[in-house]
Amino acid sequence: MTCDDHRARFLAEGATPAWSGHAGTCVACRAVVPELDSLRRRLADPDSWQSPGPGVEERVLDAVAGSPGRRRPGQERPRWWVAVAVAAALVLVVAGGLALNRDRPDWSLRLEAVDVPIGAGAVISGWNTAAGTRLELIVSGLPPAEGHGYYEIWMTSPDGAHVSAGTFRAGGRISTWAGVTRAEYPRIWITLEAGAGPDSSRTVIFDS
Amino acid sequence: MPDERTIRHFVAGDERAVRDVYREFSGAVFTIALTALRERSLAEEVVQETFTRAWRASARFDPARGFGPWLYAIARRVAVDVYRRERRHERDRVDVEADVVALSPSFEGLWEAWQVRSAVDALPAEERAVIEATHYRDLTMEMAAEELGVPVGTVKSRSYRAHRRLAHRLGHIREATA
Repeated sequence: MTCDDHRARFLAEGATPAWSGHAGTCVACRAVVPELDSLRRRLADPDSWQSPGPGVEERVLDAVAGSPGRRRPGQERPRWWVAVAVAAALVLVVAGGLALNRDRPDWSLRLEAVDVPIGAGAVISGWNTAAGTRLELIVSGLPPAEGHGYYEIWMTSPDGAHVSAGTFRAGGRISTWAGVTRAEYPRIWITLEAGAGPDSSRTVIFDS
Repeated sequence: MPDERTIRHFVAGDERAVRDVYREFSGAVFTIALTALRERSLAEEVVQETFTRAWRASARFDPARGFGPWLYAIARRVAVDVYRRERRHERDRVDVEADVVALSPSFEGLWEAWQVRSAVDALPAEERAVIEATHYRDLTMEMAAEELGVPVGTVKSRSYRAHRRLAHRLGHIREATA
């Protein structure tokens, strides 16, 4: 029997007299016993046999199809704060044949209240498009921002890049737009801003 | 392992190749995500995000590195990001800067988990079924034969071939790094 044969038997059965006899004369096989033991544990581990649900594949294909495109080499995404105010409000027009498509959103998220009055809540929904994400935020129980202040919606990527997704002054139904997708910028949060400026105040009132 | 043509198409941005690559590697990605995060829904999120990022970054893929290790690196990074995000929520932090969150011990050994899952997925279906029955479900050869509807001798020969493949693929790698 070759070393592979012995190691195969060890994987299948563990340490047997035949293995012990071989390992006693083979330094290479003796050296890999801890790793072979670890491999046997991995083969018995339920995690080694689980698979993602059937819908994940389609979500991947949808995300790839809806992606705005890949970056070419040299076009690295800046890793500093990106203050891209793309707050274009969506206008609901019924007359003249134009109507806002009220189809189901691609995703909806209830944001957790961080620093708001008791009873305040926020739900944000998104529709993926080739130009970015159409957002609709429904906020209840939130007092109007005072003075020159306003509330601002942020989307953040896993590596910390921030994109502003619009501003508003009081609760209700807010329609806005982001030039990025939730797949790229999964964290969605809302801050209270005291005045104009490129950076967030860090006064977080809602967070995903 | 997807053939070079599929990888080339994937790297070139062919969306049709995404499905092939997904079916080849989704098991390994899911295994390391589940091992690290211990929650199925988060692991599925890692799978989705990994393939999306890989597709977007495929123009920068270096063939000399090997597609599997490259995809593993992306998957592990995504799992770390998800882990840190979940930890921030648990601690109710308001600091928006990327803070240092110590990783759980569950992140150790992810490369080994990836290799084992990849090796198992690469087995012929009938051999994989025997490995699953005898290792994961801890059936004897006789019980495995009854469940699979084949003679015990067939189970034994499939087991022998499967373990030879696994030992050859995994044992030598271990020896090289021991």
